[in-house]
Amino acid sequence: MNGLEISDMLNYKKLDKSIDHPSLYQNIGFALLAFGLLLLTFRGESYNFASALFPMLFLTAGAYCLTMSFSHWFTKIFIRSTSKYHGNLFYISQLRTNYKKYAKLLTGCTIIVIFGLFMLIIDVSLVADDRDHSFEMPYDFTVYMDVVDGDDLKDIEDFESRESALLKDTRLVRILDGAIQWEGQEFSRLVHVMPESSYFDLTGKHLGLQDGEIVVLSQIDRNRYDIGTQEENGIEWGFQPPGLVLFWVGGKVYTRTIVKEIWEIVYNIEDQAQRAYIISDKDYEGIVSEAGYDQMKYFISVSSPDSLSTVYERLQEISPAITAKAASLETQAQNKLVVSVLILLAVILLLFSLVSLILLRINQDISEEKRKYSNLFSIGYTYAQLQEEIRKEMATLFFVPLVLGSSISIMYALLASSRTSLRQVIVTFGVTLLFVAVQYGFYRVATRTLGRQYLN
Amino acid sequence: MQYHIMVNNLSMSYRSKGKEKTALSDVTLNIPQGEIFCIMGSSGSGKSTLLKILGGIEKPTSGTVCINGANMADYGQQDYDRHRQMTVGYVFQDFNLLEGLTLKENIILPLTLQKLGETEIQQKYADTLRYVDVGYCENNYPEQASGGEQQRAAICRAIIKSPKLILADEPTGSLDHVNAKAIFNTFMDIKERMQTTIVLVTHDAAVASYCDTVVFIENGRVCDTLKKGEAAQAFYKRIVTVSSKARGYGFSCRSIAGVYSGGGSVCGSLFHKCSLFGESYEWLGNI
Ligand SMILES: Nc1ncnc2c1ncn2[C@@H]1O[C@H](COP(=O)(O)OP(=O)(O)O)[C@@H](O)[C@H]1O
Ligand SMILES: [Mg+2]
Repeated sequence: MNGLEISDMLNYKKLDKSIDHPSLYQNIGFALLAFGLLLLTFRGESYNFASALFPMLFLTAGAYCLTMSFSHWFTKIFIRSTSKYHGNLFYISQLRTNYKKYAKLLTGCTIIVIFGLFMLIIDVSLVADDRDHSFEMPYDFTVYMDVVDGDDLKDIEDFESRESALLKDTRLVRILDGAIQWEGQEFSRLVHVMPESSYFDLTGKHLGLQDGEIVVLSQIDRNRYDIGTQEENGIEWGFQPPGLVLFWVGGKVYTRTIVKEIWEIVYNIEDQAQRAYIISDKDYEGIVSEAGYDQMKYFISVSSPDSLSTVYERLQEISPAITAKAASLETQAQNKLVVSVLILLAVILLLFSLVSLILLRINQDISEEKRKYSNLFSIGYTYAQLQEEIRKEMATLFFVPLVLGSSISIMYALLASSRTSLRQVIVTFGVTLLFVAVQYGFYRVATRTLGRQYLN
Repeated sequence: MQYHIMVNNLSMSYRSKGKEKTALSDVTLNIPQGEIFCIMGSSGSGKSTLLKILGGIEKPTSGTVCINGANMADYGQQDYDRHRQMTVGYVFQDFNLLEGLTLKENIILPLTLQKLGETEIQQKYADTLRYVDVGYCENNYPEQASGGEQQRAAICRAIIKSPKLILADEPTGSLDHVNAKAIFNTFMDIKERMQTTIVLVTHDAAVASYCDTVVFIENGRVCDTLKKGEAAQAFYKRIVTVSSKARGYGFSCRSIAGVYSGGGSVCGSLFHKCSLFGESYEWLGNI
């Protein structure tokens, strides 16, 4: 063994025990936390990836610094009053030695708690969201008719007269598939283009559009969903700002002006992100004649659920391109279930890794700790006092990451959406309580097991 | 106040992995108050076990320990706790200070267990420093203190609660002879001034030679008992003879050099090795 190795060994103990500049870590940690909170609180109305990610990054980095310097600032709490100081001498000793070793463990656990709890909150809100999504699909069936000719129209007439007893409501409206530019990509995002008369057929409402004007139809129920909107020249918008916009239909690009956005559920769409441009009837005719084709959608509601399958079979004769509301809803529900089970599994794995990390770390030092406790017993500690010391130590390991991590998750979950509903608050705190309860169970088991291991 | 320990027919066996291991058998001792009572014997002979029983840490398999006539077997849990917390001060070979506490914090630790107030703690601490001076390094952590300083702090930790009984398990075993001498002088001083009974385990014949009673244990049995009352030279010689008989030549050269030259005869090869320790010769010569 050469000199260098020996000096390394001498240094090793010191390096292993502590980080340099703990107070710097502590201050940076508090600053990062505060900054993350500021970002979350004054995020403005717009909701996008960056505004969701950056606060989380700052909060996590803050938690990192605070757990790395944990023993430094936590000991200060006990040194403040003499009776606390005297009552916790051994605990302070452990903080000064063991918890410096535990710093990285606590950091890892805190980050696991932040993400685990956050995922769990999302998961539970997803599962608890038993809202009926059927309102998003006003009709039972949608038939797509991409190339409309006289035969089709005749088929529809026949169908309606034959099955009138089974039908409650039918609408045949003209809606073209178009595309708009989105996030720098060329005309990639699907948009429906429909004449004002189609909108009138569906809703019975007039918009009074001039040629060249667009009203954006967002089929979202604003009473149920929280959407961020902005204002421009007194016009509220959430999808695209008022002004000139390009769109593509049938190989040609058109330039029109958005004058307004409306939020209303009018007809069945595949997903709620789908938007429709409503233009004047004359404008629509022009586009159709330039494109050389027209497209229609035929919406059907049945009078009773019993007739769903019969109607579905008859509709096949008109066109095979049919979507059924019931099938879509079922798929949605199944997808939701799969996703929530996957998230739950991930959270359980995280929780287990959390606990096993802690237990593994404790296990590494068990013989040293055992010796320490038996010496304490010799110098006059009672069993009850030793149990209390073990309890304090375990509480630190199990609850410091939990308190730090869960307060960050809670703040994030509550502040990240601009309108916080009572329901969200209940879900967030309920889930946190559940998480704490599970962790408390592990803590009790660990305390009891270790008590038996250390003190026999 | 009297503090008198009677050990009668004490036996102790450990059961580990199904095997029974006898650590002490049929030990009978009489430890009067205010004595430095020395226990010698080879490793594994049961010395530490005896100390643990006296300290209320282990309970014997059979036999009795009576303190002032009260049988420890009749103690309840609270009496045991009181015994460990108030009556006994423990000193270990490897000091066993908590590395996360300064020497001062280590010393006052036993008082905090008794839930004493701040002023009382400071008062007792100041009193303790009058016996053993560690005040100059009280704010050092153990790893910043020398072995001698650590052991003195450990002794302070034992005496700060004014115990009736100090149990010292090879207290000088990890120290060089200068520090060992200082530590032993501290024990002598404590005995003189506080009339504390000190039960001391040592391998050092020189240390043993200062004690009032020396008991030899082999395989859990008491094989010899010496009293200081005997003529000094004969007492030293017997310690060396008995301990060398019991332990081969395992004891430290220093003790042999000191004792043998004091006795006027010289052990050739061992003395040659130990001539470095002129100081220990001088030390023993002073008695
Ligand atoms: N906790 C224990 N469990 C099992 N055996 C023990 C235990 N403590 C001591 N012993 C055994 O008892 C005997 C006496 O041990 P000890 O009193 O420590 O000896 P000494 O201090 O004289 O070296 C040894 O053989 C040792 O192996
Ligand atoms: Mg021993």
